[in-house]
Amino acid sequence: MHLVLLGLLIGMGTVFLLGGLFNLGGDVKGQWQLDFLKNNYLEAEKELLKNDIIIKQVGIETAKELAANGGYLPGTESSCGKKGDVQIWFKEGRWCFLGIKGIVADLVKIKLNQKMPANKYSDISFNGPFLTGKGEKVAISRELATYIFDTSFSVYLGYSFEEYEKIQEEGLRLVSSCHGQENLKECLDNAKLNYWKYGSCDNEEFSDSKMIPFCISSPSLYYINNEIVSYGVAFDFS
Amino acid sequence: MMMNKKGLIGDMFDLFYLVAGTIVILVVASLALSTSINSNNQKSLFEVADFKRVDSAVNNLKVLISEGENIDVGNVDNLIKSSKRYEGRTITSCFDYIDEFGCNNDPIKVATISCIWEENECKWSSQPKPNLINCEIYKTESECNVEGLRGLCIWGGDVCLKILQ
Repeated sequence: MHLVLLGLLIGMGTVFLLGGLFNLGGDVKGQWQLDFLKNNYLEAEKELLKNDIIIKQVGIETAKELAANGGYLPGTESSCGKKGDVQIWFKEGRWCFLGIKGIVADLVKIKLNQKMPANKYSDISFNGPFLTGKGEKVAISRELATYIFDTSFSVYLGYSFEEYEKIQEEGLRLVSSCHGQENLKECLDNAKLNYWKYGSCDNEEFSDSKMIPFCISSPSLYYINNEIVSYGVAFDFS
Repeated sequence: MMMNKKGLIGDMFDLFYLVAGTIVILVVASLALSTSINSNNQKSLFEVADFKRVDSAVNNLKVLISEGENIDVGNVDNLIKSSKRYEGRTITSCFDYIDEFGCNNDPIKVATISCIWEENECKWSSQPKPNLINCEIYKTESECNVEGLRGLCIWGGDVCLKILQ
């Protein structure tokens, strides 16, 4: 009788000891919730962070390419034509530059499609130094859990496309002041701002014609790739 | 009479074994359960702490981007993975240290060269990581143009501007 009882006790003790090794205390508390946060929520946050970084790169590339082509898409030209490599914004009484709002949206969209083909964006725009866009809702699904997040973005570029509006206003003022003037150089010297240079930003040179190309350094002193952003545009003052 | 006394003693031994056995079973069961529960609690706490670390690291990087810093997208996972908790904060870059001692010693080793405490802020050393530099913290032309920042920041008349990469 005593041996039976002793055997029973030893057996039960062994079961409990082994049970300790086999998680006798039940599941880890909050395991599902933690798995959801780590595998769904955090993955979504990392994806949004990476998206923001790529979108910022795209925004800066767009700014560079548009500035290099006088506010026009690479490979296209103004309806007024070009003077050499410089886009003509005003010719024969016609203002040809129509702003960049639509161009920025188109170029950013093309680039985003190339870099993130899985994501679809719409309503791309800019507001000061922020590039904004509407994205789709994306779901991250794991076992027994789905997390849905919005991929819309508002990314700080450190550069504002609104510079074009400022340059456009200054260009219009210059044209209205000096258009048809006999002594064009004197008029332009008096009317233009000091970051408007004749021909080139490095070697300023006044061309003796009525079609004047300008190199305009960024009024807000924005820099891209260690160089101040500059815009090459030409105006017809005849 | 003798047999009854022997039987009584035997019953007493049985009772003794039963009580002792019950105590042993309860102690063993209690130990096994509490060990297992403690182990599970520790695992839960560790996983919560790890979640908070990763979440904070992601937020730290988001703040850096919103302040105009450039971060290589291929480096994001490494930055998050190498971030660690230090005095209640998650350190992902030098900018996350809030005290001079932590900044100058960089116990988490987030800096390529080192972090330096200047003007009550933690910054990269004289050889900062170009993809994480914040030019706006330099308030004078001489600070903005200091060796190591050239090519990364430029003085714009009244503010130190970042040269976009």
